[in-house]
Amino acid sequence: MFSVEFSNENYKRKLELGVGLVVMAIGAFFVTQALTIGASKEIVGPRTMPMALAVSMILGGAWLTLRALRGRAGLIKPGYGFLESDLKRISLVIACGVAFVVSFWAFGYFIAIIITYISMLYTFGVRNKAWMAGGALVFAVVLQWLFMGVMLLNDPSGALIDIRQYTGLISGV
Amino acid sequence: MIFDDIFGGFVTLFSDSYAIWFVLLASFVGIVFGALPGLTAAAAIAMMLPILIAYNDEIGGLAGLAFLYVIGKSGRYGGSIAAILFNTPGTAASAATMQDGYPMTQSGRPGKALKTATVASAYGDYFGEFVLIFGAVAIAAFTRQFGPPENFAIYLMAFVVIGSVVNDSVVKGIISTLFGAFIALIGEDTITGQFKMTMGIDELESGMALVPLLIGVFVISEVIIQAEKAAKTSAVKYAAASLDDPTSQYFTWSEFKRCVPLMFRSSIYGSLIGMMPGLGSSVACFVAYGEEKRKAKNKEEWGTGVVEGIAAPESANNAVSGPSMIPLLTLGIPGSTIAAVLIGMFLVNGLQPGPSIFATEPPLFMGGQLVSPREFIFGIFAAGLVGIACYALIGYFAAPWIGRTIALLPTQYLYPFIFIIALAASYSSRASIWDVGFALLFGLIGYAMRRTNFSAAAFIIAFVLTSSMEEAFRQSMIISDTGLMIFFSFEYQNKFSYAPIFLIIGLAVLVMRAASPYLGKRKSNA
Repeated sequence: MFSVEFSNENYKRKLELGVGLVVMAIGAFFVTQALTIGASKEIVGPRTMPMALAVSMILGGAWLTLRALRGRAGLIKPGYGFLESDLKRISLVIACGVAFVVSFWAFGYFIAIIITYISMLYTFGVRNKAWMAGGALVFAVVLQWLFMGVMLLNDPSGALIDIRQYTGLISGV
Repeated sequence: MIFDDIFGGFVTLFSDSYAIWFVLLASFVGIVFGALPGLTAAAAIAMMLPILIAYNDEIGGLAGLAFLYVIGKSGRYGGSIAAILFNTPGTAASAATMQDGYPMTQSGRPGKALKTATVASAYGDYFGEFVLIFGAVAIAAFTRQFGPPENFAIYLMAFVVIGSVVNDSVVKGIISTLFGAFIALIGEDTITGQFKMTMGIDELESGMALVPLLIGVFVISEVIIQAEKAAKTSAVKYAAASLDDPTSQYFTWSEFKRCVPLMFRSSIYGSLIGMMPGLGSSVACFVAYGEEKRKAKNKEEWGTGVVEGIAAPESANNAVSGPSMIPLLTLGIPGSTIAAVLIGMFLVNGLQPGPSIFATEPPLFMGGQLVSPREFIFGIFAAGLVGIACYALIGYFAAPWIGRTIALLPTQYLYPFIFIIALAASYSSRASIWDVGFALLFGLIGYAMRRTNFSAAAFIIAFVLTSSMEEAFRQSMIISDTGLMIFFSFEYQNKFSYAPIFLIIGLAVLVMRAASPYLGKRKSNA
């Protein structure tokens, strides 16, 4: 029991140390961003608040870091930490999102929906090809009609191919 | 006077057919999203917000706002279905309901548990709604006199209070707030028109949009967590006994009478907690459960499946709903994520959340007719009262069926569907592919925040509040002859200032929260 608690505490300490350093790094990045704002003649200009927030973040990160270094991070509670995280699955979900962005740019909205839906089903373990293809097609038709036809959103052409003459039949635009 | 307003609210609501339909729809959608483990009313709102904004002119402002308002209520209630049937809280607000709800299901009385939760939720929600109606009007009459220094002090107090009470770690709560506030400052400066921190990205010149942020931290982060689980089995294990057996499935009249005093007390706890920004239903349900268990004569039976153990947390968590709007309507501070999103919809309809929302002039043109802001806001209150009745009726008769259907939903089809809707909704907020990228980025950030105990709610609330806070700060500086001392002085421009009082309250909450672990340790040692 003791060893489990000890290792938990050690893991949390290391993670909290990392969290503190990341928060400080983000704060430092925010400081550099705040410095890009032009200075004004007023007592309080547009730079004041971003700078105050960024510096406060650095101080908050420093506090977390010091607390971890002093060994006061405490024990792990359920759901805390990345011990149960599945990096492969996380990467796959983000890759599906990136696939949406890239295929949207290359082929347009309709095909982006089809590609992303199929890749997400694959990520979640679906291997039924008929369901994947059929479901993706039906879904893409519904979203094309809803967002482009009913909500009249901008439907840009793909950089590589332009199928709007066909998808326009769905959206009626 | 106020009863005339309430009556007028019902007239406004019932003269708008879209609003009635949207109230009904929100009652159902909220229950479903609340009952889906992992998904919340905030996730539903994030995905539907772009559609509501796009159609705001067609459906009229009242329908959209009523939809968002009611979905918050029904979503809180929907969480109890998952808690009772699957031993998984659909939302954090129903975590305490599991303690007695699931044992009741295991003992073959899921119908009784669900009906108890429905009645208690509706009771608490009505209680909270009346607290909101009578409380907000009275407080708004007082807060209407506030100027920029008081407004800034209130915002700062809200930041500190929300940051320090929203989760276990005060420092992490405050950092979440600072992070949200910084992101909100990206874009065009409201006073000088200068572009700030856009990193050369043109799309950031108009600032970061709320929808991709909401979708990232509430929806995509949840999809990532579900992908990790990636079970090929059904979303939840439905271990409930048969619901077809009518015996012992009703919440009887004698049980109701026994629970009324307890529900009344729990509703008071919920209402008081709801009024404090940052404290939400998840706190209220445990406070009510703990207090009522402590007072109960049969406390040893609690946790084995008693109706009181469901009635107390459910009436408390739903009683939070109405009063959590009081800070928004009287001070312009959102007390919860849903209230933060409502600010966006109020602004779309030309209403500035704050005490002036109860004014009778100038009139607004909505749904083809002129209504005063006061009539409009009472129309939303009326929508809340009708919405409670709608979700209670749906829940009373259809909760077992909704639970059974959710149990059959396979995650491997459900979450890819939600992911695509989330991406489509991100794109639709400004028809910009950059917003999809931002939603993905904040999905990852939201996931990391959840794993390391930072608060997504504090992050979103700070994001929504910051531009108003900065404006109030700089306006104060313009009118001040003494610089920053204007916030610490009890007088400015020959009138009394409440600013120092708010700053003292914020500081006191911060100190108390920071000291509470040490005080608790000393107490336990003694």
